[in-house]
Amino acid sequence: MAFMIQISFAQEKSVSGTITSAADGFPLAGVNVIVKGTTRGVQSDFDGNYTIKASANETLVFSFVGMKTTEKSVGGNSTINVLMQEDAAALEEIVIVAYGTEKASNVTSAIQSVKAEDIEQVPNASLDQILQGQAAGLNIQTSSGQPGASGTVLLRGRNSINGNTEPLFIIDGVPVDEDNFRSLNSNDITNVSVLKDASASALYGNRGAGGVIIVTTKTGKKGGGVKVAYRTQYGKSTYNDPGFEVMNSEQILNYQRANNIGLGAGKSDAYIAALANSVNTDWKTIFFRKGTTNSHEVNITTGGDVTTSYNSIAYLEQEGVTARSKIQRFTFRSNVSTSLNDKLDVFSNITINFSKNNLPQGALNGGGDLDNPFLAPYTALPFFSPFNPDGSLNINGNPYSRGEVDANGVPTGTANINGFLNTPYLTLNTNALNSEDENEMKIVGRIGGNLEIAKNLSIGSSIGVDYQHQEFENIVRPESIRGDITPDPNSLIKGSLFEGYQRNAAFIANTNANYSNVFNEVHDFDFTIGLEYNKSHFKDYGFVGYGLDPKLVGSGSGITSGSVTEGDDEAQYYIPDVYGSTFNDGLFSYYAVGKYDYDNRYGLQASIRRDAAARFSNTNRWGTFWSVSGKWNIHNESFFNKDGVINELKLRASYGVAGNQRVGGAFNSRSLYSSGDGYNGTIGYSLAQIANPDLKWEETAQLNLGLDFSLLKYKLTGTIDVYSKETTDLFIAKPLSLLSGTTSINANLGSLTNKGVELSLNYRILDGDFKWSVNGNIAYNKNELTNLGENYSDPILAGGGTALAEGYPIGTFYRVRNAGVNPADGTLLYFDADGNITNVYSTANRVLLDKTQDPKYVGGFGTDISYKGFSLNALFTYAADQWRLNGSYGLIEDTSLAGFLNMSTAVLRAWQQPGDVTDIPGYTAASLRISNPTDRYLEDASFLRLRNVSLSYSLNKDMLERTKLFTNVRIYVQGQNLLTFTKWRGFDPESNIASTFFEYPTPKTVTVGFDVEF
Amino acid sequence: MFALSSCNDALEILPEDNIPAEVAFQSVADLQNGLNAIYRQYSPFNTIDYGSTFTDDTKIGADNGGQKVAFHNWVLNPGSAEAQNMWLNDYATINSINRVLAAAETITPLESQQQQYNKILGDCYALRAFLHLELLSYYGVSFDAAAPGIPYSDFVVVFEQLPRLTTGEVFERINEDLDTAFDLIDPSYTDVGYVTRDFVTAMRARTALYSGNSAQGLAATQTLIAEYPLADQLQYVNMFGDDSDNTEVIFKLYRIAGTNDQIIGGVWYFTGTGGAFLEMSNEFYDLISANPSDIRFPVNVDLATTDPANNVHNIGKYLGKGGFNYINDIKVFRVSEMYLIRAELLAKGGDYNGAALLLKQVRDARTGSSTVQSSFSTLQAAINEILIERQKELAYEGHRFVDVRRTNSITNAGFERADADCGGGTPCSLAASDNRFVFPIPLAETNGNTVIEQAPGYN
Repeated sequence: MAFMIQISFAQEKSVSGTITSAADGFPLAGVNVIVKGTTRGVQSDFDGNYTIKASANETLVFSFVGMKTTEKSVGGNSTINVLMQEDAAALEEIVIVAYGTEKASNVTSAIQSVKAEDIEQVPNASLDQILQGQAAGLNIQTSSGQPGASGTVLLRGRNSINGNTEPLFIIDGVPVDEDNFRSLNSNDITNVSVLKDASASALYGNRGAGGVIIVTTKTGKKGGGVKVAYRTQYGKSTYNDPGFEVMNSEQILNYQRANNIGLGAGKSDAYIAALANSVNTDWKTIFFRKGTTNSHEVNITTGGDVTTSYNSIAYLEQEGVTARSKIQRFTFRSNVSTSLNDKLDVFSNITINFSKNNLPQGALNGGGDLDNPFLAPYTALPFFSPFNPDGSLNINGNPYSRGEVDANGVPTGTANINGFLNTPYLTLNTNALNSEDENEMKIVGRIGGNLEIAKNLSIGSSIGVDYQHQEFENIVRPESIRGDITPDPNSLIKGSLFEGYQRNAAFIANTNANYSNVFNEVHDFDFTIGLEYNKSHFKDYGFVGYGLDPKLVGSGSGITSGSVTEGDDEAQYYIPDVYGSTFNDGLFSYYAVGKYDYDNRYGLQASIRRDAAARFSNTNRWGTFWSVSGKWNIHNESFFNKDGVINELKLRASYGVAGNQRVGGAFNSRSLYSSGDGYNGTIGYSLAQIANPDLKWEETAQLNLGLDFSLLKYKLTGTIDVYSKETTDLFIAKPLSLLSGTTSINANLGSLTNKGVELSLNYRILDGDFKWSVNGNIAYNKNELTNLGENYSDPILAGGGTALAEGYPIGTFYRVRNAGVNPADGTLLYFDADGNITNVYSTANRVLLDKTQDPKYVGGFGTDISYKGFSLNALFTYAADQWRLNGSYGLIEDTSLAGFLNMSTAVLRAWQQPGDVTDIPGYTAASLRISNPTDRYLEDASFLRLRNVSLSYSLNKDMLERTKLFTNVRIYVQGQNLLTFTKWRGFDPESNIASTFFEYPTPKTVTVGFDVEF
Repeated sequence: MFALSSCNDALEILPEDNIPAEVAFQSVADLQNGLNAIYRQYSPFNTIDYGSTFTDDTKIGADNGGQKVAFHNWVLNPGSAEAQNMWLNDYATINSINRVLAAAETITPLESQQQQYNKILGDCYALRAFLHLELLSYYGVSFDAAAPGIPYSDFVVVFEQLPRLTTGEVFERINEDLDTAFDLIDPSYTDVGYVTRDFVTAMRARTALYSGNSAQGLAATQTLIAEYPLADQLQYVNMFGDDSDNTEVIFKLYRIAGTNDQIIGGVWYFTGTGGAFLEMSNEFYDLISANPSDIRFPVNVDLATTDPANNVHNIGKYLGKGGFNYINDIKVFRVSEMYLIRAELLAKGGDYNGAALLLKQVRDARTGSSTVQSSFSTLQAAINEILIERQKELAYEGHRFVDVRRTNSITNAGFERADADCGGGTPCSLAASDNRFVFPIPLAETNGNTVIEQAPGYN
């Protein structure tokens, strides 16, 4: 889009005019007006006006993206107004590729772009989650509904067992932490390019094995003038309905009575009826809340002849769906680009952001911890009231829940306020009193320039940084229930304060030289060489102080001195814990890439790079990565009839190799000792790590074949890609005899493959006033471990009920199969390894199931409808054939816990007497979820979700003109995750882990928004 | 130039938080640091866990949310965490020992350091023997000399794969290490928190009991019984209560309150809140409460929280000290064990009277009164009574499983849990012939070691 404006001498006159769109009559800004056969040109201003010097014998060429190029002879005219017609065939996109941009028709590799309009306004504070369903082959799932929480991004399957599997994220040329986007404003983004194949990623060969996602933020347009926009959003979030039901008071009390456990044991009908009538708490309504979202943003875009800029400042505040869950974020961005003269361009991008995050679930209260707020909606007993008699929330429990009296009201002489029975109150208490916060400063910036040193030859250089500073704080207040046992049940002063600091600064410097030229108008050459330097500096430190002065809670000065002793024993309860660590990492690379395009028909690209990683030993430090790719624009051949059914057809092929060095620990090639606590209060030296000096890069080779097409008068466009990836020198935890002191050592032993197909389609059903299009994408990926390096007697257990075995995908579940309940005695039955039913549980009967943690199919589909100022957009996303162990639900079918936990209503159909045919074992047979794990709670977590839906209205031109102030006004209402279809029994089928246990479910959110532009 | 220097800057990165192996051990003081880590690395938690959770001494506690249920239900296979925990901890500690021994060869101590240097080596050899005996007692296929035992690790294993030696060979190596240790350790070292010559003697006694070497065992127990009196009732309470009495302690592992030392009560309790996920079994409670004047009743039972009417029986042996709950020194060798070892060796040699007298001496000390001396007519009767006395005397100290396992060829009995302690998912009995009396080689070991043979019944 960059356009040269040159001053020249001639006998010229001034020609001016207004350029408008033939379709809607709006003025068109930014239209290129060029004098044919020269490099003289201007762009139309914001009102569509232009002025250019031209001679009478010259011709003006008007061109604009998406419009038919129009030519007008100057002749005697001094005013030339132009109506520009839309040109579907010329919707020539610019695609952002590694280290630059390219015309879509020139692209030789598998790249998919996501545009700003698909990203903006989605009320999700983490960019990666917004991308879900937007590009074929991207599988993004999260197991936290905390606002701003990052998901796990898998592009075309898992490439590694023990190394990084996520794509490399590049924001404006700076590689950033792929697990932390909460402090970045996704409204600043203009384009996200997903680079899927080896050709696209070989330029990031040292980190591109998992694909590359390039994020580009907004800039001003030369001659675009000044635009100011204000945007705001307000909305509410709430939980998705769970796919299960828990017992009410009457049901659980009767169940307890029937089995002589808990409060219900030995109680009369009258007692149960009276209690059930007075208290029947639905705890999910207590622990979930409606969270409020609101945001404000002002951005200023400028476009002069020399300098363009985009500046934004925004505030977002989003509450999660449970108490203490919140993000508050200030973001600031400034992108400036200046052409100092016609040889030198300089640019800078900087974003400075600060976010405050309040977390409901952290180190101290996740998983099975009793004050995990997502535990209580499953397990809290319904006959406990959440309220005090005065109507306030009860944060201390009752005598029975605290264990002060037994089920019959008899004092026990002891108490356990941290016990199972007190679960809901303990959670309410922690919610009300304690806090866990993370404050984050994140700066991503880059400054650089390009200098044309000779015709067609330029050099460029840039330096960028991804800087993250995080402060962690956790307060356990002295008067809280958790405070009662902190630092010690016996200490007189209670409570603790954790403060932690973490800094990571990752620098990148790049210098390159580029030569490009076109010979004979058809031979288009482009050649680049470059050097790249990466270094990251990590440091963290912190402390936990104990014994807080109730008047100074949260302040370091409220901490009791470590030298204070108590009692005759002179016990030292208040010795603070301190920690600190430092870690640096580095990469150094040089690379070359060449492109050749012939007549916009044939294209070829080749790249090669050498990369060195600090984490490998001197001998294995360097890796060589390369790629070749080509394209054939069949529709540009003379034999091709563009006016037939097929309007465009492009064939692509690529092959290349990329590396992964983020595998294993940082210094795995060295043997290390650590200094730590020794026996009896001494210092001890112990082995920390055994060296494997032979470690080297994991390498992923990928073959991709793609077809881009346009059919039915350009209405149906689409892309099909097939790929085959093989990762070799795969890091395997090579098993060692435990006599070595460790279970394994990382070694480059294995290999795996990912093979798949991706299809994206977009169909414009209606054009004109009433526009309607539908789109969809689907991706299938098959992962297979082809070599684990050694012969193992059994599959290697890999956590979450999964195992690694040759011939099977990563994340394959390895379980004994449940065969239901024996009608004769109500005990659980199993299948043995051969498929025969048995009542004997044995882990020898575990089998590798055809069920995996990662979905086999992922994708999305949606529709865009617009009529005049109205538009409706909807996006559904789905993941199919994905499985997960449902530990959360398993807990409420574990009847051995029914004395102090609520149970699923499924337990009501438990086996009672011989002959009962049911899926729930008898009470005495027990759930055995822990001792005899099977596939009983291995559930289908496939889902279809209405990810985003929005309805908007933009004021039309007449109304805007009457305001004499606004150039654009838009209001909209938008919903996220409004509908979910799944068999999963829980609050949320989405997750990035194989085995779930009370994670924070993602919410549904409805917002209304308002945008104005001046 | 710029490229070269930035290249070096990006690539020449050294760890800052760890010590490169080649400079870790350069002096006697460094070796001492290595030994300090070894003492801390060994976790007596495992044998105490296995000896209680996997036996008839415990039941599922009132506050159990699933903790240790499978292991308590005798679910044990090569993939079980418990199959690996002791194997890995003990062999990793042995690996650390061998590293210190190897490093010591490169260091020449000053004359003033010679005694300390020798003591470091002596401790290493003695602990290496101790750890191998613990491993053998769980993972050895049987105590017969010809039976498959365990690998004996006496060099720094990294990639090597060692087979099982026979049990007899393992005992031989253990005794060799003990002899080496005895000669290296100066008799002036008497701190019971560290290896001493008496530790070595106690090891010889326990090894002899397991190997059936009567002469060695009788000699060793005689030495120690002569040297250490049995604790009286008050001393016994203080030995376990606040660790202040060491009358009959030959060796214990110090655990310092308020540090990061492992809290031993965590085998059965949520140590923060005090809820018990495992409790004393009704079976053991009935046994130990039969004579309330036996000091072992109030020491083993947490009387403050135990409520037999509501089936609450809490383990009281490690209630804590110094103002901290559930942390106590771990008693590894006490002289009462030497009495019981001697009694068993005498009984096996046919001296039932001698055995009965030793049992009476222990009981007298525990009850503070003169008790009736038993008389046995068969070895089985004698062993049965010795087992009961060991169950009471050494409860929750990591012996019960090994004791039942190594004598079940004589008693022909496995574990029988009381009705009140089992049912539902919890089985009531583990037959003497059950293969789970031998712990399986952990899956991780067979994955990394193709020459080791799995125990019977686990393939």
